[in-house]
Amino acid sequence: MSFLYPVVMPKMSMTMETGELLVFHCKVGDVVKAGDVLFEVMTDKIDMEVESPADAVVKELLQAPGAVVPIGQPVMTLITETQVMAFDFDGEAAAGSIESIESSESLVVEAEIPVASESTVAQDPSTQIKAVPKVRSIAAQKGIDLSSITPTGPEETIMMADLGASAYAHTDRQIANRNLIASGLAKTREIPQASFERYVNRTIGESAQWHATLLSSWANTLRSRPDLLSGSDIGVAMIIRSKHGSALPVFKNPDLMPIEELKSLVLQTTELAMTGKVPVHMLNGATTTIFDLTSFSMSSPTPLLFPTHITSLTVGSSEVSSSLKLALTIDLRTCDFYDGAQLLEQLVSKM
Amino acid sequence: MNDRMLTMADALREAMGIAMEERQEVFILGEDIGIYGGAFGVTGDLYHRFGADRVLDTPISELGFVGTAVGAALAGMRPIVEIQFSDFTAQAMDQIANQAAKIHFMVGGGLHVPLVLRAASGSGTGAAAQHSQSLETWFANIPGLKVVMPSNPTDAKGLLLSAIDDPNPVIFLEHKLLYKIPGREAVPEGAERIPLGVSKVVRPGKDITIVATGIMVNRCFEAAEKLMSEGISVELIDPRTISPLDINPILQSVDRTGRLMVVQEAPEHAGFLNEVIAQVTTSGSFGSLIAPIVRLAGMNIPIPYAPQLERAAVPQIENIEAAARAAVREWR
Repeated sequence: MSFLYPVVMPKMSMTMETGELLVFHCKVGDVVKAGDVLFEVMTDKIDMEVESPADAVVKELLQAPGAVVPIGQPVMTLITETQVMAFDFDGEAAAGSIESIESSESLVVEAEIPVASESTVAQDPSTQIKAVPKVRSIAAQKGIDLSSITPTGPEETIMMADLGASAYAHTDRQIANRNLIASGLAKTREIPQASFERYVNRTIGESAQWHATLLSSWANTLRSRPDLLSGSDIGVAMIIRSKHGSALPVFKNPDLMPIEELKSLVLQTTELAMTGKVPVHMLNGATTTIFDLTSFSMSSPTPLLFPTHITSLTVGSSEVSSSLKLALTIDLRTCDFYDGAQLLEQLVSKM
Repeated sequence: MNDRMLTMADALREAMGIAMEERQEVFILGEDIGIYGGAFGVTGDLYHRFGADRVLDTPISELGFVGTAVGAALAGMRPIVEIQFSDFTAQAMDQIANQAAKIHFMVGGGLHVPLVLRAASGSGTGAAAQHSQSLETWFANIPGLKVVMPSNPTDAKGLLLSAIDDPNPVIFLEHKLLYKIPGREAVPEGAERIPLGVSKVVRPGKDITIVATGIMVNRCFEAAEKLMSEGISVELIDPRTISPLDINPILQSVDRTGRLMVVQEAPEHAGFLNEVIAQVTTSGSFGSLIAPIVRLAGMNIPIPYAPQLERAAVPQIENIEAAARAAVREWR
């Protein structure tokens, strides 16, 4: 059985609402292997390669390079024999807010489409546009649609002068990006919230071990309160430093994994993040967030609570002693002060 | 200062004199280079300064005396061979390509061939098809040979000294028309070497990068001066050594200007400058190009005897000027 599998714009950072499609590394009809790079995405703080989740055939490219695509909206479709893990994708929600996307149900669209006949589809018409190499590289960077430019160069070739002001559009785009981040942050600030802090006397030790412990303890703590969960799955998004900025991979039900397995998953994901390649299936499905600032030897007084996440945990280092500072932020619309205090108390005792 | 405005022939003679004083193993051999002072007057008085043992007049047999030089080099000498017209290297190509270039490699580096082969090259003297070729690509395509093409007296002196120092064969191609012309700068007096394999930015500019070899460097310089008065700024690069080729300054320049023009006297087809183009277009600098690359080279014909045709067969200042102007004006 073949599945039609939409590859959507992944959520790659905490404030990301849209991503700019930089370039496709595949074309319609291509046979791709799991792990092959499908396309590159640029956001305000991270450039990342999106990989194929399974062996598949590229059915359709739904967006053009340069398009700014909201998270969750399909960028392309694959046809695969493998039942891949779906990530949040919903046609209606795609155009909506963070809330609707974050809470949307996972789904796999099933289709019975013969693979072979799909591999001979027409080529990208943009390859027929003549442009000097520099114009192409600028167009790819800035998301300029070359078909919208009137060529005045010899043999109807687009030359640098034809780009005019659009070659400088990046300043506007940068302003737009900053606005986007600011509005995302403003949204989290609108949530009625409360934060609690506790100091814990504990040394961190080896990083992967520490993160595995933290993920497992926090998920286990949350699991004891089914009334605060939106489903049976717990997805812990943990901020990881990547070579492009920060990545926010989601660890699904970490408390149900053997700790050694979780530890190696943390190691593997950290390595992938450093090369800018967090697997697509790890970029969605978060129900809570952990910001670990201990590697920076600091703490943050401004926790970020995502809409639809009821909780957010910030771990920081105390300046005065070797103890850790655990800060829990809760959404007061769903969670009471006492619930929050209890959760933090439980977490501390588990650690 | 003015007495240091040497011609290339003077500068080459000076370099050979310095090398012969520095090292007993250095000697020169070739046709008419002794008493006569060389067909183009390059060896001049060296015969009288160093004697017949070190400045050897040979019979008219390139095969014979290049072979002699390869053998002498293997035996620890540092011969400088002068080939009267580079076209005659064909007579000695087995000694050059199959012997000199390969011995060091075929014995695992156990032997060296410190041979310099100087040859008068290029057209413009009315010497017709068999005495006017630019054959640098022949040599550049043979691993084991280094190939030098000086464009001015200062470089000629410094590069020849480095070539003589080099432990393996160096082909040194001198353009006939440059022998009698002083350079744009005084030639330094000492024995300072100019390393092989270092490109030189002859003239900085921002609109177009021109890479030229040999005499074309001079023609491009003249063209660049004229274009400057029209507001077109040319960056001129002389690789000086075509094997090994120092491509980085060229790539960096193309990254800045976005336009590349290559100019050589040798025929366009399969010429050395195509290698420069290939290296630019297969590098990250490809994305910097804002105009098609311009090639200006000799026609794919034997050099004609008729002076007007001889002139028309290879790039002249006005051709360079027009091509560079078009590249900058048409591609903005």
